[in-house]
Amino acid sequence: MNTEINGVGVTKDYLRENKIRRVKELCCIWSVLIIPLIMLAIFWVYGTIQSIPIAFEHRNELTGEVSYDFYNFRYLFGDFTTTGRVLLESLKNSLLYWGLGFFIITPLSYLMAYFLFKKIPGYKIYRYIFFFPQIVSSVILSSFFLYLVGNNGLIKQAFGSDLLLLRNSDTAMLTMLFYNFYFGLCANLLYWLSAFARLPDEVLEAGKIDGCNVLQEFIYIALPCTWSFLATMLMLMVTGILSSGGATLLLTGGGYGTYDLPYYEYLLTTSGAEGISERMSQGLAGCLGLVKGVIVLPVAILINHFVNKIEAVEF
Amino acid sequence: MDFIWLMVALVGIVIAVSIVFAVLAKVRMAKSLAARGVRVSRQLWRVNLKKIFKLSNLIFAIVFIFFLIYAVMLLFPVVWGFLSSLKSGGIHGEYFHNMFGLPTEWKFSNYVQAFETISDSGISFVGMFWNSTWFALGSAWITMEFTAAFAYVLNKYKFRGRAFLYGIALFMVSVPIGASMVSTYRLIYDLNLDNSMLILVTAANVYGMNLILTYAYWTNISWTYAEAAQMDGAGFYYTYFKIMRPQVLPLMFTLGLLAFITKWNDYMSPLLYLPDMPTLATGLYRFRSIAERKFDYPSLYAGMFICLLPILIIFAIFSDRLLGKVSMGGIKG
Repeated sequence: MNTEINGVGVTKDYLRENKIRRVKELCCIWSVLIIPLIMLAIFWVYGTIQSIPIAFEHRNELTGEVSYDFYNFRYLFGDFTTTGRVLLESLKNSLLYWGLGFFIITPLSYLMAYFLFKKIPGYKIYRYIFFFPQIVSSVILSSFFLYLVGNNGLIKQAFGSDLLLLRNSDTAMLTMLFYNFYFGLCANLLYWLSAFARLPDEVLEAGKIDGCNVLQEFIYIALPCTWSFLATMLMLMVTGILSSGGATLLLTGGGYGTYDLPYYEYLLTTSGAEGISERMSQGLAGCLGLVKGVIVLPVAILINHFVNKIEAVEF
Repeated sequence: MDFIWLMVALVGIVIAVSIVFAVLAKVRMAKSLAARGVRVSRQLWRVNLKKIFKLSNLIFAIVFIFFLIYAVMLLFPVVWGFLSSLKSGGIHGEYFHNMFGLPTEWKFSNYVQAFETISDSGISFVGMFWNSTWFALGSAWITMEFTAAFAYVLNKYKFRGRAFLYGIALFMVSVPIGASMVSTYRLIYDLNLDNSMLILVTAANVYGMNLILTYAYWTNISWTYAEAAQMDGAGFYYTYFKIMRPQVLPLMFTLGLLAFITKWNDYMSPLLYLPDMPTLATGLYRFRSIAERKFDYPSLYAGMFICLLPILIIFAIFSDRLLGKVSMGGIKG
């Protein structure tokens, strides 16, 4: 006996063996962690750090020489350039998409999930149908939609209207919003259904015995019991405010006043934005990405603070 | 005047549906009583206006009508697209002259034509199908394998830095800050991951919501199994692959299915990183403009339904799993 651990005598050999076993275990543990961590280091840590110099990158139009200054920021926010107007339009439209999602789609899908949970007649079939847009590619959904409302589309053929909803500045953005509503209404349905599924039967039963109708049950039982989850989801949605967008690439390509921020960033990244040279484009994309990040970071931290304060209802 | 009539019709429909619900409730009650051997009296079938106009019944009726309209609206484009895929194309084709009706001649040959004509960047339809398959299947499999193993180690083993690594995961989910689109774009091109299957290595970046979910799932799985195996001499890898991993397979499978569907339908990543290796989603997107010029919409729709087919089959087989019925493993008591 050479030493004692918790009052039990152990030999040096045992300690050595234990140490070897622990080293082996640590090697195995890190063998599992290493690849994901390398990926994290490259694509998140390095990628995030790299975003900063790209934002300040300014390539000379003629020579292609790179310098670092505030040119991209000045260019992007220049009031009298086309870029500035597109940026403002993109920002306005992204806010519209976000508002639609936050104030209309989310509450409505929450209510829909409640009625599915209450087993409204046909709820099984509805559940499958409502989930359907989530499994179909946006390319397919947008094509169906495009040929319903577009040139030679079903609506034109059926009503004889010459108004092309996606080819008119007055109606294009509204139509895009409708598209988001149409196919995005049930995007979060599964989350809400899983939240309602946790409601305790005995509480619902007690409500029924006390004579609660479906509205009272929703207001006094379901909403308070799922409030912490709903509030968390709503708060997390706020952090996505500048990433909100629609199927712009698939439906309009940004025409007729339908640019949004993610699409504009995509165009700048792939050097496809109208009126912007290939050499400048990626610097502007980096600048836009950085500005978005700088705005969202404090909002996200603040939201996180509030989310942590939300007390879950115990049941 | 039209508006008033519309309102009257709507109220009428709501009342009619409400009556149907009231009758259905009575039938259910009668069945339940009969099953318990209780004689159903005539009184049960008496019309009770109070019950028909009960607030709950009226609300259910309104919601039911809304659900019905929305369901029809969702199904309509799909059914219409399917029927259109069986009509003849071209400017004089049936597609333009019989938009609403059934095809007079069911042209299943459009599906063969889609296989033959749809191509992108010199890649045939079959090639695009293959690209979609390896891209979706590979990404889903790599993501789930690495996520499950990563979450297992974080959850079940104690080592320095464990809390920090999990903290990063929580931070990344709640604070959506990261590399900008252009930064990731440059990285992928600088590392020569573009236009090759090497793009799949990016799927090993496990940080995200799936990690949090899998971590939580591991918490519910008892360590007793692993302890028993280790007492019998099982090593780290044997314990994970033979004892622990099978218990988390239901969750891996469900999350993997969702990842597969997402990647199969993803058009943005292939557009950015696989421009010369188009998947079905990107290929169909690019083929759309060609079809529009030729007025060959039926072939395009046929291509879309072929693209949709694997997802529909998967959904038909695993719909219960996808819609949330994930069974939990573990030891009772």
